Amino acid sequence: MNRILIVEDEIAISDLIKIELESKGYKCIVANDGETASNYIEKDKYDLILLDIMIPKVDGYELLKYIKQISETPTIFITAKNQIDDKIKGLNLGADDYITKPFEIRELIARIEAVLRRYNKGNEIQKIDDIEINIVSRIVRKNGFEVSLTPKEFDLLVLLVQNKNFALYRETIFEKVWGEDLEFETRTLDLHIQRLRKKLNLKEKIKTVYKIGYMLEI
Amino acid sequence: MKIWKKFVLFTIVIISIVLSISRYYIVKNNFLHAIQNTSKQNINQHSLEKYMLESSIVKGIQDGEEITDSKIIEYLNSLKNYTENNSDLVALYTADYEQIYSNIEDIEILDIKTILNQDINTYCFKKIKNNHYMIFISHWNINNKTLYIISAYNINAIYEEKDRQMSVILITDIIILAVSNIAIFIFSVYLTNPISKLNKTSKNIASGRFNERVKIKSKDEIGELATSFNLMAEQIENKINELNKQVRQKNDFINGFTHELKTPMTAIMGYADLLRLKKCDEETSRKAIQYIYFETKRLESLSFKLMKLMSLTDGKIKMNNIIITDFIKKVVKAENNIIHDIKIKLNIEYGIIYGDSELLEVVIRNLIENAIKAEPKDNIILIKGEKTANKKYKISIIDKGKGIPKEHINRVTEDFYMVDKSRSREHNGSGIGLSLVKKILNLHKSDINIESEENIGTTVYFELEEVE
Repeated sequence: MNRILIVEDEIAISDLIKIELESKGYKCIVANDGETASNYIEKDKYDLILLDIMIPKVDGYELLKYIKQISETPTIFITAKNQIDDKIKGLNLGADDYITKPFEIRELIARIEAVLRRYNKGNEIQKIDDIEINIVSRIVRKNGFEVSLTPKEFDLLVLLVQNKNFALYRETIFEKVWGEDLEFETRTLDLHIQRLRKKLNLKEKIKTVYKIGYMLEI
Repeated sequence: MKIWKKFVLFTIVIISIVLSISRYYIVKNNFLHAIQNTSKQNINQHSLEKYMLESSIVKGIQDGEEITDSKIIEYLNSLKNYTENNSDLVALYTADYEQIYSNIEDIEILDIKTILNQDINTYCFKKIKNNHYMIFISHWNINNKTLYIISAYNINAIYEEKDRQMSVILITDIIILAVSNIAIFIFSVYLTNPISKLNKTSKNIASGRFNERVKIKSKDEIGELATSFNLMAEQIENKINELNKQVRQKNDFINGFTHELKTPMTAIMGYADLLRLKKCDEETSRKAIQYIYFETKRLESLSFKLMKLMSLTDGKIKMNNIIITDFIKKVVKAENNIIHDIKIKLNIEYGIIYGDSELLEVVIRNLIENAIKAEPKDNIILIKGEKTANKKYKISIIDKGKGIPKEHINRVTEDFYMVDKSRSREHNGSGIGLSLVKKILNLHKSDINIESEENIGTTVYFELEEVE
């Protein structure tokens, strides 16, 4: 399980990131100011640090310098400034990536996964029972045998896996997989769910939640 | 071409022309004068020679001697023994241009003819073998025989004198030219030095060093130019600084605004997406909804302040008479509903002021909020109201909080300026409050005054027009 340190003084945002990351199976520790963060970094090891630049007590850039001095922990910084100079400054100080506010949490998670993959820490391959999903090469194996899925079937599977044990709304599943521009068609979604259940023998696991949508229960 | 070169060239040309013209006249005058003097002398000499030869011949005839050419030559030679200052050369001719005697070499018949055709008793000049001669000619008749006598006098001395004068003049002229050119060079360098200073400074200013000035303290036109130049540079620097300040303030405004907008938006977007996608448990859902609510409130408060700020730029306000005691009590009552730990103490003298009550409420609420954020040690905020001597009404908001560091006091009224950005946000501050207060007070022809000392406290006061 990857441990992520979230350095963010806006509790609303740190909470949000924490909820989302923990649902994806990361362990999250939150520091609300630069001083607390540096204490945490000194004591413990983390797989990744998420760092807001505008934080109290110790400025984010200073903290970044400190992090890079004592460890090689990958770092992604969060900035509200949309100025190139700020991004360049952060990257020059050794940050691995950045994201600007306002961001969508999905994008943040994608960036976190990308950085972790680069450090060979990522969950490139996700396992559910006997099913192996390689997110990068988009290959799915069951019992070691490759199962061929259409791109939409694959995206749907990944969405369910990443939100396992959470009931997902029909409309939002459709929107995330097929895109926001298409008009919602419940039959298309139901058909793809049925095909996934059949191809991967997940009849028991992919549950229909009444009035809501679907859920992958592990 | 550099100015000093122009000066030097100009001087050389002018002095050379003036000198050569004046020299030419001087030398010419001297020369003519010398010639005149010499010719007077020589014409006497020539007459004497002629007379003596003539009298010798007459005497010979009286003595009954036969006058032959050789006899005349004999007379001529004996003549030289009697007189001094003889002509240097002499020649005798008959009327047919037949030469009787000549010690003038290279004088040809043709020359003689041209000489003889001239007026008798005048003279002419001839250059013979690098020597200059003044030549006189006379004739007389003896026994029906015409004789011409030619005397040539060496006048080399005059020419030598002329040459000597010329060389002296040449040397003095060269010295005069050299001296005047050096002087002119030094003068022009002295004159153009301030100009090159000006040039250097303007280049520096052009390359962005707007604080450069010229240091020229002469009282002539260049000094005046330098003064005007410095004045211009001063104006430009001020303008540039003002523009830079405006750009910085605008940038700060945009940065501040972006930050204040983006943080709540990120939270709202994130929680809404969470709720939309997943069926979350009760606790998480509640938390998400709470966050969305409060972040939206924050945006609303920001947009309210911004709208107020923007509407103020139109300058339209509704002025009314306000009974200050009632007004402040009303504002404080509304404020007291929000805060818990802190007490607001009032010390308000009765008075009526003239102002926009809605806007003044914004002012007082903002100042109270700021005082709360300063975390007063005694948990008391004092609002004082008093009439002043000059028919104004002074309102002060006093706290014993942490104060404002000196270097920040002048900037706290700038848009989105926060003394401690991170701390300010703990209190939901946006850095726009004091700038709003300042703008409102300015519309009331008043201004905000801040007296503060770190860790001791802050007093903010302003004066309004009192109605009698």
